[in-house]
Amino acid sequence: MTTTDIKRWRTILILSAIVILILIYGFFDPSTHFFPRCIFKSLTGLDCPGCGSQRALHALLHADIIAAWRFNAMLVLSIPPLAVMAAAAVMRTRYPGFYAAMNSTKAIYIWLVAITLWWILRNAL
Amino acid sequence: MNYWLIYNGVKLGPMSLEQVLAMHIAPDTPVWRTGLPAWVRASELPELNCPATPPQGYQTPGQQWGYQAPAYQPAPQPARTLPPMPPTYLAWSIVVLLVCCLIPGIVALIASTRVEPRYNSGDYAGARRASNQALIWILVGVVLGLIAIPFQIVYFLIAG
Repeated sequence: MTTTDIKRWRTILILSAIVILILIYGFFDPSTHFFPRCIFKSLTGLDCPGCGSQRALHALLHADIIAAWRFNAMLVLSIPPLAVMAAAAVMRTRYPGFYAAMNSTKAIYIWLVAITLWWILRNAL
Repeated sequence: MNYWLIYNGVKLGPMSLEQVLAMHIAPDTPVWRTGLPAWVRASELPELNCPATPPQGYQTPGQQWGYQAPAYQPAPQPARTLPPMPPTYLAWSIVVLLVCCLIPGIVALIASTRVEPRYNSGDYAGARRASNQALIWILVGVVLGLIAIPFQIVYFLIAG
């Protein structure tokens, strides 16, 4: 298998997985069906950064942004930056400096700090 | 003095001034040099617009007296064979962390912080290892998220 073949299969795999996940989260409500629960929450009772994200996804797929915000605000807020990062990856050859900035160590640390702050604040407030 | 370029969409470096000059990059190629606060265009760095400038230290000592001793010429690695910076998988780590599994997501993020520093210091193998580690932890998160479903069902059935 050539590198192009591997890349094509990888793209197909990722796209299929995304479509399947959209279908699952769109049709089934995590509040009432069997969906994975958070181990951190069951052990400590506190929210982890991702708690509520599955219900938020379900709400977003039904265009209910307010409910999604209530379930996991960080997920809703992360969608524009993640979309920008995806665009940077797609336009990598046209804007290489932008892609490098979006994936720099500095950007990663910003995400780590934001996620940690969110983790602390959502439990403290 | 080390230079880094963004060339054909990939980050190359570190390389010496001679290697940069040998590539004959376009004036708008993003370049970074140790000490600069940000990436600049190649045209903004005066030393890059003088392709005729001979690199320092390559003058053969003693040639002016006709002595034909071969000068020591360190062979710099050709810039075009330098490997590009491996991917950090940052966006995927964020998604896994927020939607799926906290611990694998965090470990993937920490692994991806090591990619750029190792690449910048010339440790290309280490940068690739860090990139692969990030990818592995992302996949671990996905798999754990998937296999958690039957475990949840069993737990629910037993405890419910």
